[in-house]
Amino acid sequence: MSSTASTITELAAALRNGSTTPRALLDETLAHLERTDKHLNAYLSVTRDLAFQQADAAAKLLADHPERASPLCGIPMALKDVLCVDGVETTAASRILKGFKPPYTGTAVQRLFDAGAVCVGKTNCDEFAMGSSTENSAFGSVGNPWDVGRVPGGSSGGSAATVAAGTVPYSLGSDTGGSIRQPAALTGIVGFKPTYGRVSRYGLIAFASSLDQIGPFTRSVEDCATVYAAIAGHDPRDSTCDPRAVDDPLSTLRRGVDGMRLGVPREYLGEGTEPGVRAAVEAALKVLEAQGATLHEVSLPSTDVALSVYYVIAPAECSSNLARYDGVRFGNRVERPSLTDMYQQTRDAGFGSEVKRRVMLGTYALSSGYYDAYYRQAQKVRTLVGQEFDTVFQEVDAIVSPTSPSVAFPMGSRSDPLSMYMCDVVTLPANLAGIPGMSVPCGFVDGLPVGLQVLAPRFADARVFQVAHAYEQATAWHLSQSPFATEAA
Amino acid sequence: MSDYEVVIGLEVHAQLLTRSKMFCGCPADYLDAEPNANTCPVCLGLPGVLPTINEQAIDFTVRTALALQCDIPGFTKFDRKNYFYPDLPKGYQISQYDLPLSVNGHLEFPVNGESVRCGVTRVHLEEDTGTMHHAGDVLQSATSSLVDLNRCGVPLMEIVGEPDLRTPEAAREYLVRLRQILTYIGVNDGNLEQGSFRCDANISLRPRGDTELGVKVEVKNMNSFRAVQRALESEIERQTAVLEAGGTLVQETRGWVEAHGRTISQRSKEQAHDYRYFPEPDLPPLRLDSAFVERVRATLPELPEARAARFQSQYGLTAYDAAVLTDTRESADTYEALVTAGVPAKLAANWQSGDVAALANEHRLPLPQSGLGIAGLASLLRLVDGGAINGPTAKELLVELYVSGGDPEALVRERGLAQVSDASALTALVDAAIAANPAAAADFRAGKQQALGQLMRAVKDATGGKADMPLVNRLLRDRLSGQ
Amino acid sequence: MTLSRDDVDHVAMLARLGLSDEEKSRLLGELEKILGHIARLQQVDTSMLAETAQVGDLVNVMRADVTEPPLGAAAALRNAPAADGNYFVVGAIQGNELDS
Repeated sequence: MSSTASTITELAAALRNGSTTPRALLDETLAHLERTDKHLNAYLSVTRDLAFQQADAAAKLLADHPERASPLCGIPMALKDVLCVDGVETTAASRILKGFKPPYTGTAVQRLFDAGAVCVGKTNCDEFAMGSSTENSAFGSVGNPWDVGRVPGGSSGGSAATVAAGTVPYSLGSDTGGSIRQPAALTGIVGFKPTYGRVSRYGLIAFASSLDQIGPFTRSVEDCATVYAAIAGHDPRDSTCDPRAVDDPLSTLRRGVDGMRLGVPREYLGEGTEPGVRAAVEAALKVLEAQGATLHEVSLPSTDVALSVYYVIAPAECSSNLARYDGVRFGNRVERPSLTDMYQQTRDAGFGSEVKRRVMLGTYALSSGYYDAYYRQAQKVRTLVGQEFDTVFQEVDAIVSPTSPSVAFPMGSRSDPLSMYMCDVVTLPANLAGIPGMSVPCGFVDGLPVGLQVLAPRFADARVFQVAHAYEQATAWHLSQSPFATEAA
Repeated sequence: MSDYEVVIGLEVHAQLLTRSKMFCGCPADYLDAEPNANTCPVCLGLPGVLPTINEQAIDFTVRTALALQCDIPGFTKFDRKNYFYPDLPKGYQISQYDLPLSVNGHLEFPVNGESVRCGVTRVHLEEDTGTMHHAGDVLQSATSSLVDLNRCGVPLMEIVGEPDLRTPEAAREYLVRLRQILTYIGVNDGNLEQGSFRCDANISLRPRGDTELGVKVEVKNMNSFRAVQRALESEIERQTAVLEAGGTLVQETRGWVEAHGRTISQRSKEQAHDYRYFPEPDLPPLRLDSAFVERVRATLPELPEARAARFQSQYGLTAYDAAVLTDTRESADTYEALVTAGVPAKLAANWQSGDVAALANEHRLPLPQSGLGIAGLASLLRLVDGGAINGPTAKELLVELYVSGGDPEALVRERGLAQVSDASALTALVDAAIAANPAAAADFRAGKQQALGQLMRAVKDATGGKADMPLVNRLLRDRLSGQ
Repeated sequence: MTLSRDDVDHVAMLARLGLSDEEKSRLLGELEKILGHIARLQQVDTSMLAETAQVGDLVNVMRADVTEPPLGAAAALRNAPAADGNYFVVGAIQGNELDS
């Protein structure tokens, strides 16, 4: 059988009924990767040796103790290159970290490894996860499998592209302002950002500490629940990781939306929304209604100013998080006789322009004389954003909207930083409030995917899965395959 | 009296005696480790790592705050202090800015018989930095520096004193008392040379009567209490000279140079650092409720001042003796163990502060860790108290057994060291000694007190050193005067 | 709030970014534009709002004072750009490095 574009569920069954083995699956995956990546550039490194080792270990477990094996056992996947893996080059798509090999593996990744996952490679992304198109990578941009001249979205473009291309059934990305959901929408797959504090950030190269979360890209909502369940839960190494027990999304997945109240924020379907996106989302809303949900127009008045809140807080935190890239203990140093010169030249050579822009912006916002007007003010308005979601969630069970105001745009078409920042206008509020959100495919505009975003209150992650699954199963969008996925194995 | 009033404020950084570092599980005891061996991804500040708070460090800091009479606000948090330096791997130090663990305490202590009260502005918690070795040992001219991160992340308590001190002597006494309290409550080992207890001073002068503060100079690099006093004295001289010559002082940081006995300018403080403090997003805040504070308060031992007072009232010791015996918690505990074991208070005090202290010093071995131990000394002193052996014998045994240990009672039996205190036997020996030393006897009768010594030695030798010497003394005097 | 070239120089120094004159000029324009947009933050009445330093209600998250084996010097130095034995090496530190 061809494993291309299969789901985890399908592959797990195939591995158990003998129609394939972890090694055979891996071989097919690597062959597909090799064929497709010269066009997509989704991978920064292919971790062959690690993958073979893991495939062999998985095969053993499946043979000896199939009852103990996780559904993820033996299944290939990819990791956004901001996730640390012991002894494996991890660059955050930055020149400053080219060649860096962490001496440890992050928690979320380790949980997947312990479940028998087979890691085929580290995927390309915007440098230090800063961007909405993956054009800020120091190692070339990533092509959208639906049209390689267009962006896959960002910052987790590589992780999205490889799943959309059908190479692997799932991958991990990170989402700080929409960096999982937006690429999922632009590449026609499922992407989930958990409640802040649900998945450990230990091992995730930090961009904005109070906003970052790790999450899965998959081809189906059910697969997404499987991966999420494997990585979520308390980690003593992350003090912001909540200790309360995780609601298993698989157990409530099929409940449907009958009787559920769904809110549609008027600010999320504003003037900036492309007509095709609006049409696809409105059609999706009708499907949900037909499934028994009621739709309610709601308002999140702070949506407009939320972008400003994000573009103070995220750069501020990143300016501090990126101070460690100083060429002293690791990273690519530009040697100079004086320390100050070494710092300055190392960071100038090592960071790309978007990173520099955000570090400058963040440093300014925290600096003496400006802290109150910028950082403190932004943190207060952030409270307002959270309060508005709380109020809306008293009226409705979940929020639905487009994930992105536009479909995938051509590479190089958004050179103005502000216009790029606008890509995240309906995704970043969820990061500010720490609520869970998912994008599921809901149609096409001229052959380019559109995503439907589902948001729920903090810790109601299972509810997001429930709504998304109901929509998905009532439509066939999730069965669409990009041109790269339809190639024969 | 000088026209100028001296205003001194002290800042102390004290490493905490936790097992692990402040934000990671590396051992906090780094002194014996090879360079950079005592590190992990977290304290190295590698990409992707996160800090986790050591609960013992919080406990120790609250303990300290209570011992210094501070208020403990219910809500406290950590903040990032951002700056670039090679010994600061993350490019920021996790510290506390506007909501520290405790505020508003004080320390009272005597200086030359007068009581001085110095306020404590705040006690907060942060992580220590790594260490650097500059080629040629002088930072300003070194072309390269070596970085060792073993110390990075060790819990560091910062104690900021109010500028209430008015003399270098008071400053020194403040530090002595503070260090004593920290070691008493078991949070710090008080070691200035190794850098576990560090002090910086801020000093300014103002015309007497003025209320505004003068130009503040920060003084660093003082590695002993004596150095602190000398450095401040030197600064007062320097600043006074400048002011009296009509000059103006520069607000700056100066380093104390022990070898030259003066301070030298390190850098100008005109350009204040912009640390861009903001709340640490990786660490949730702490709410310390009164139940928690009371639990910590219950673990506070009796503090030195209170213990010394009790020693005076409970054991009838002089203020001086009580102060000596309560200088460290260990010595105070030792003393009370001796008394509990049946040694009379005054006897125990004399021996412990005298011969035992001298031996402990000589062998660099405190009594509890010596071969003889507290139990052994108690046994020995009970023999003295009961008259079983005399003073000199006891001293000899103490010296002999201190390091190697042994059972004093058994040795006294085995060697027949029991004191000769039978008055009639001794009287006979006294008469014999007088007869054998007529010149000394005559000298004594003539008024030369020292002459008695020769006669005492004669009796002592005759008994093989076991005579009850105070009794011999009395018998000799009786005999020499009576006859 | 207009940004000056001095501001850009100062911020670049705080962030230890050795930007070229060209880069600084470009950044001046870009940052001004972004700050112009962000200025709408000032219009929001935040007098009744507290800051959200963190979402969620976690407090008192601590760990027991237990040691873990360190990584060891070899692993610590594995990615070192410059090392001397078990030390990291850096160049000359001028006095002004300690400022700002």
